[in-house]
Amino acid sequence: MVSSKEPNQEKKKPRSDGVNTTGARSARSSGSRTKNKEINVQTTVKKEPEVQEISESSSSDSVEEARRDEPMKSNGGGVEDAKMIRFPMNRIRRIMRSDNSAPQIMQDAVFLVNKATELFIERFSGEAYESSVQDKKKFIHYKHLSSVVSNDDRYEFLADCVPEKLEAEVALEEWERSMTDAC
Amino acid sequence: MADEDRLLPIANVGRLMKQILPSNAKISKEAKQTVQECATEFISFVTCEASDKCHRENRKTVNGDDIWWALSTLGLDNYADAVGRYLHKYREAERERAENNKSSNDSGNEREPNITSGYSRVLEKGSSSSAR
Repeated sequence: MVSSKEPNQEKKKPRSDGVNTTGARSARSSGSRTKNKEINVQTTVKKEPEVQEISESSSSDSVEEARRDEPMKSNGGGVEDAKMIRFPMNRIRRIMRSDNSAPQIMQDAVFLVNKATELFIERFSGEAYESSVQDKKKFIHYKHLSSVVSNDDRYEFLADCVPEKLEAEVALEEWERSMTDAC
Repeated sequence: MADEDRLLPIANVGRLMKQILPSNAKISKEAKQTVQECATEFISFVTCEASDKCHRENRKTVNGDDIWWALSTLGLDNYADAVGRYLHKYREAERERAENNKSSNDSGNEREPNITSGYSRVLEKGSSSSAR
């Protein structure tokens, strides 16, 4: 007799597949009950490593946004660091495809770019922070980023992204000088 | 494509910066946006190099090795070293996951919960420290 459909009690057997005989119950429903418990436990366990699903999903962006911050220290928390993927795989893939003619990109490539980008931001930010400290400023400003870019050949590819800002007067002077030289 | 979609999510960028920098560090909004753009540019830069390599070799698909190669070629050796380990572990984890899926399907159960934890376990072993 089917008795399992109790909408309020969702914890019991998510699927009522009509398992009612005692023998089968112990096999299948205990399996599903165990699964429930496993799912509950797994939810708890999953939160710790917070591993991004490798396969893409449409909700991955929101999942990433909702992910809680764990205090990641770069030295002590190295293990935790490795497990997390920082950015939504969908977004990474979209950026990779936008300017490039590569028709197909394998998932491991997207993953690597994800990790490499994380490293890039860490290092770039770290160097900008050093620059702000030398400048005796409390905030990291645009100029600290631009000085990092202009002082390091490794960041040459960012020269167009982060040009040094000039004050209008200085820019005008340079322009006039160049016009004079041209004549 | 909307601006927000062509860049990395700024919340993730900001969160990462906050975690990596000392707790007293402050980042101006403009600086955060600039890092967001730079990171996006970084992705394009590396992908372009990897993609060119595929073209030269008449291949249509960019894979992890191409990315690794691009990082090395572009003078980003220390990135290549760090991600090289991740690549290896990622592939191991994928193999493990495929095997788990296969055995799960065979037994009629749904996906095993320990796939993800297996992946994380594998990465855990390989992470030691990303070269900084």
